[in-house]
Amino acid sequence: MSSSLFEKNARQYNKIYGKNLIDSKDNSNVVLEKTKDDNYTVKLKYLTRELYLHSKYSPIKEAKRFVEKIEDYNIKTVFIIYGMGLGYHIMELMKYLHKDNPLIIIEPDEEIFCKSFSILDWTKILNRDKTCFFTGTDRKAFNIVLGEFIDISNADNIQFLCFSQYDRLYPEFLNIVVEEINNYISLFTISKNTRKHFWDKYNENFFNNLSSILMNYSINDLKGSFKNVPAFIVSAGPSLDKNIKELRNVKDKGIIFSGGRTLGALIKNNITPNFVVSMDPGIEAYNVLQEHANHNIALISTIVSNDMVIQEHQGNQFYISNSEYMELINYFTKKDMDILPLGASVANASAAIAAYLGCNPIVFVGQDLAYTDGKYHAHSCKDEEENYEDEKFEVEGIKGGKVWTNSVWYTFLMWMEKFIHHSFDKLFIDATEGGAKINGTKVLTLKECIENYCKKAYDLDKELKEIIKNNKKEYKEEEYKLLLRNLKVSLDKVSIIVKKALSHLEKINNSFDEGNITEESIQKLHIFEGQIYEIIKHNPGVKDILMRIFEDVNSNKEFIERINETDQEKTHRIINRSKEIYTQIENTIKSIDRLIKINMKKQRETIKVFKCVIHFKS
Amino acid sequence: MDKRKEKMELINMAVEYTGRLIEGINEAVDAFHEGMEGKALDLVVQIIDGLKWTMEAITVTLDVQRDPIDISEINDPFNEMAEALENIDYVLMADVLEYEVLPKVEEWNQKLFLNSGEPS
Repeated sequence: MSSSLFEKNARQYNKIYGKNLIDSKDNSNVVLEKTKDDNYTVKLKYLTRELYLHSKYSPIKEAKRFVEKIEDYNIKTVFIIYGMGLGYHIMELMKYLHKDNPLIIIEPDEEIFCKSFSILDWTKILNRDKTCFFTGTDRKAFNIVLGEFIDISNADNIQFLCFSQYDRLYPEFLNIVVEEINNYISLFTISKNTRKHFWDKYNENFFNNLSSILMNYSINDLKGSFKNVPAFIVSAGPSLDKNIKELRNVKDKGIIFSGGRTLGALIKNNITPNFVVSMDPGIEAYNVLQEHANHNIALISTIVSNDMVIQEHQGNQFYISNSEYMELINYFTKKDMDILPLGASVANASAAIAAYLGCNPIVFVGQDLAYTDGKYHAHSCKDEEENYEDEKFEVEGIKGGKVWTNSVWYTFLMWMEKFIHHSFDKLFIDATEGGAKINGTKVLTLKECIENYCKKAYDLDKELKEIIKNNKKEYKEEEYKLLLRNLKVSLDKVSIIVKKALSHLEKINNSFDEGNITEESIQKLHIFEGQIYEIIKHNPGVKDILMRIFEDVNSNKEFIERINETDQEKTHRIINRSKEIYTQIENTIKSIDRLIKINMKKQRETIKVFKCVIHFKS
Repeated sequence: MDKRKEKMELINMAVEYTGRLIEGINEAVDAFHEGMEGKALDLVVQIIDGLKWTMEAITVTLDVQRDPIDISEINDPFNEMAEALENIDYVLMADVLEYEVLPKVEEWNQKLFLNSGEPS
């Protein structure tokens, strides 16, 4: 135990975290005790009891035991340790970690944290990359730390370890920690699975929507254009039947956003929304529009929203970009297109769009997120056959008491509350008149809301026409085709490399069976990969098509280097990884190639029809 | 059966029993370290019963032991176990079992084995 050691650690800690630590030497709740093996343990006064944090005989042996029981980890595993204690187990763990392993050390008790600084030299670990020392019990601060460490590539590769008796000493914060980690895991697992599930459909939608994207407008054209105009986001919850008619009184004093499902009900009630929002890539987005698919109301969608919705639509379209197609969008449009935080439902997306447009307040209608009166949707928005079997649970209701919801709606609710929390300059009003309570909203009836906030009339149609006129762009057919052709040429080059790589892998496979695989043949696999990266570097459009494959494969635990793996295991892993990468690239290029061909042909047909018409007229 | 023979048989039983007790203590220590406190505490109850039986067996066979065993040596570890249970301190409990009780029971097992002399 030394005060100079504490100062050395505390100085370094202050340099990195900007926090001053004070060594509370006389604190009677945390007492250091010499152990039989000449180390230290901590005796902690806890309520009326006294508890040891470490073995009072051999904390070193205990640390070794703690680390030995860790299984199934690799060089990218995120280690989250609940309980730093004096840190012997962390020092032991460091012997096993690779420099790429992210590490979060959580110590809920700052006094214990300080004690450990006077026992062990932490400077090396404090300086280590991808390492965080988290002290205290602040949920928000911990959430931010997790956000920096967990991403889509490692959300399924986390080792959470609770040291000693920390689960009983600090159970409340443990629950928070576990809950926050689980939230991140499910968020990224859902995105990963959605991405996997919809990837082909995303590509299909993107290429099929491309000519419309080039001819139409970017969401940036609408940015901040409707400052302080009230926005009404209409959802299909059961309560919509109660107050849908009230929306007629909004008239030109607010902007109405409709999803696909609510469009029919609004039209039936003689209400024309200002925007229809369609997000889903799947055919369901088209199906819910039913007979109104060919409407001419301005449509806001993403570049990968369902292609049928886009094709049938007869009005102006505003596109939101997607992080995985940013390079492709730049390649084709050569202009900025923003990505918005869209959440998981049309109402989530509409709230983000309304905020982006400058609207205020933002009013929710039909946003029950619960089985109000046992119903799933408003009667006016129902599918012909609705048969949903969900696991239901209770949440706080808008009118007090409890209401039943399901996990999907709950995800929408959580997202909405987080979005509201971060949009502190906006007023959010829940005028659903039923369903789940959305924290952060003011609760009003729709009538009250319109009376209080819809006082000023706007010429919204004129404003929109002006935006469209000012942002009109020339659609250059030849340029578009050239870009498609160039993209195809780059992908053809990749295809040639992939073919060579796959045939090389077949040869390697035979050598592997015979047990005489050479270092050069493994090296050759890296060269093929290098050649593909070179093409990606010169054509960023190809990057969007291929990087997803590299990211997916590289985050697959099966292909990540294991700590202390044998040479044979390593060779096996590299071969399997290469096989997976080249097979996936081959399949993806085949399907993109088909989409490019279809779209090049489609353009020619359009031109043909156009020429015919001119000829006929002349 | 004469008294001596009966006692020798009891010593033989105690050798076998302390062997099982050692296994049980190791299992409890592992369970505490693996965070399976429920299982560990079940084992602790059995260990306490086992120690009680062993101490009785040692006491009644004292006169036939060549190298008599002093059971009072277990008093301090017993007190520490009681303290650990009272404080619900599983780190201390695992420590006492591993570093105090286990060596003692291993020593008894060894001594009882040597005392058993003529195996039944």
